[in-house]
Amino acid sequence: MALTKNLAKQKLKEKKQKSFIAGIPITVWLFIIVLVPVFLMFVMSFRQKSGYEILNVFTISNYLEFFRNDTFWRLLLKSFRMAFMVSISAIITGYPLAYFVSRRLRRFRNLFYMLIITPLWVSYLVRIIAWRTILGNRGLINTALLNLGIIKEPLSIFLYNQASVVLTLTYIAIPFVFIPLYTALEKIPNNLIDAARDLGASEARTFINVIFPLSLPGLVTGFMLSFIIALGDYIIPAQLGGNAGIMYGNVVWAQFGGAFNWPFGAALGFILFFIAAVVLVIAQIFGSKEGIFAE
Amino acid sequence: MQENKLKMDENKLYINNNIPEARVTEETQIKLMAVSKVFQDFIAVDNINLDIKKGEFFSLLGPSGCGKTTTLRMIAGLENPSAGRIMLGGKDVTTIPAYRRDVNTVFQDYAIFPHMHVWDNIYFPLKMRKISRREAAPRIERMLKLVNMSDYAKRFSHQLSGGQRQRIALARALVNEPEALLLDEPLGALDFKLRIAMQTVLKDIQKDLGITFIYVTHDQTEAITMSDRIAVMRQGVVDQIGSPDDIYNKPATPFVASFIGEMNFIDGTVIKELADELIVKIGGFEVTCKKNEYNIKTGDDVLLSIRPEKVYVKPSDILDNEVKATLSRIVFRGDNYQVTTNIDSGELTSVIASKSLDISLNSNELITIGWNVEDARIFPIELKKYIINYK
Repeated sequence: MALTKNLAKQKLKEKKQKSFIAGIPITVWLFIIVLVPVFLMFVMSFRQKSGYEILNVFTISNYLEFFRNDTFWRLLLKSFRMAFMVSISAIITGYPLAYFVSRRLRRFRNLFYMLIITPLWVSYLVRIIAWRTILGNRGLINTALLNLGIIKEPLSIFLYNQASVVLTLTYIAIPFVFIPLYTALEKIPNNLIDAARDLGASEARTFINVIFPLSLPGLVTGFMLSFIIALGDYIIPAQLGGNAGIMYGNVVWAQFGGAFNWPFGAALGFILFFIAAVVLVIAQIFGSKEGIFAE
Repeated sequence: MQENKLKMDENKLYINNNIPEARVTEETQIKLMAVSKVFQDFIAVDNINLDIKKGEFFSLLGPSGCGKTTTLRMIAGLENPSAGRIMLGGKDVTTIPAYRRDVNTVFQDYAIFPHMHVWDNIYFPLKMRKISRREAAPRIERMLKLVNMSDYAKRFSHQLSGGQRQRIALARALVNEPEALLLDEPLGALDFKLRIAMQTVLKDIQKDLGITFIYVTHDQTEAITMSDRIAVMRQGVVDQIGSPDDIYNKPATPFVASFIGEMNFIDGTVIKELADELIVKIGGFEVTCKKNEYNIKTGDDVLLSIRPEKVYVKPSDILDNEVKATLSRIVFRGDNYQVTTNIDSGELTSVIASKSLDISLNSNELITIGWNVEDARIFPIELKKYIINYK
């Protein structure tokens, strides 16, 4: 008895060792591609630019500058607001789509799924330029309105503002909201829906009381993904935002580019990184319903 | 046996002396009239008629894919019949959706909502009826007590064992006091001992509440021990509806005969017709059989069926039918022996007798086996193809 127990213990120990060894490559990989760059950026953020040189000193002046100059934190706040709007609109469009494809379609489910995620295969820049051709002065909307005789001059209200940035970011974010929502909705066992209906819930109440709560983990994941994508973006604001649509990402980008102030750019970047990480952790805590269907 | 049963009933009355013993009434509760269900090109249920009485424990029994679950789902309203009508308590409910039908289901894998704890799960049907939490509390308390789960109100599904989930599913389905409770193989996922215990729990609850139970199962023992009446289904049709006694002792078809319990089947030919008996030749022997609802004539090939426990090896009394057989195998099965013999140069197959083996038997010995006329039934040979053969 004691012998078999010891044997079992030893087996477990061996198994643990094995899984530890198996985990080494991925840990090293993660270390190289994620942790090292972040650490380097962190170090950079405490240095100082002087002319065209980066001095090897330790200073927190970059961080102080962020709080001293209200331009930066106001812009960060605005970016948060915009990213929030993007996530909400992406969910409003993505949820019905995911619900329809995962729970209503039978025959063409995979086809629709592929169609919805197809934009991910197309270059990011190409898709942005595509939206310029839709919203621009000689774009699709203006041409259509002109031809219909509704307007006489092309309208410039579609482009170079916050709305155009939010719209395009929403478009970019939809597949990232769709995929986790689809997965969450598809995983809901049919017999739970049957049970709800059997126990007196109409279709609407089944949705409110059973389907929606069970799709929350997917919803949270989708929200986080689109939020992170929107918060850090600088290409869309640069291309379609004009002055009004500028976002925090543009400022960070400017420090590494034109301004050649890498330490300050690193500090701004790290602030964004830190806040995004906090948001992720909070969302993870509230959204984590993992193993909900586990036996 | 009879004495024993009487004693048990007394005992029960003593425990639940304030609850009237539920009885099956003559009043029809659920009626299926010529109901069919077609899935694309597959006929799941083929023109069945059922008449289920109020307070009855009614089982739908059959192998997997026989349409029993589809039938249950049609009664629940989760599936629409392709043809026919379903009546519930005298009302036509054929087109009424599931959520407005006064029947509830216990699903095979329980379907406990994973995002609600036990209390909220049981509250769910009451919430759907717009009953406040405060008003619902005593009812839920009573239900939890009924299924012996009072201490588990705040647990979640994944913190419960299979048997506990089963009890919660039962409480949730019963809290609304439905006209009928539908159970879809509710014990299928439980291990043997627990299944036996839950059978008693279910039967007791059914008696105490006096609610009609419609019970879907593929387990013949379960159906026989628990039901008032059983409908045996095969490929979408009902082969027989009757009491467990009828189903076991007077199976209507070879399918029913083979599906329930163990059964011997022997081919034969009718050689002579008497007033209400037929003389059937099996191998080199002539045996007497009772005439039945099948219109079997002289010269017809027949299938003769006898329960193993009705076949006597080396009988001490003189039986109606006796044949000589070669002993080929004896298997000890705990409370009985399975004795296999070959009749007449191996032309006829196995015959099983299960009795305490107090007689000496040698392998390949030629012995007498026999049975009484009323214990055997004959069927037209065309029905042989419906025999379920698990070998």
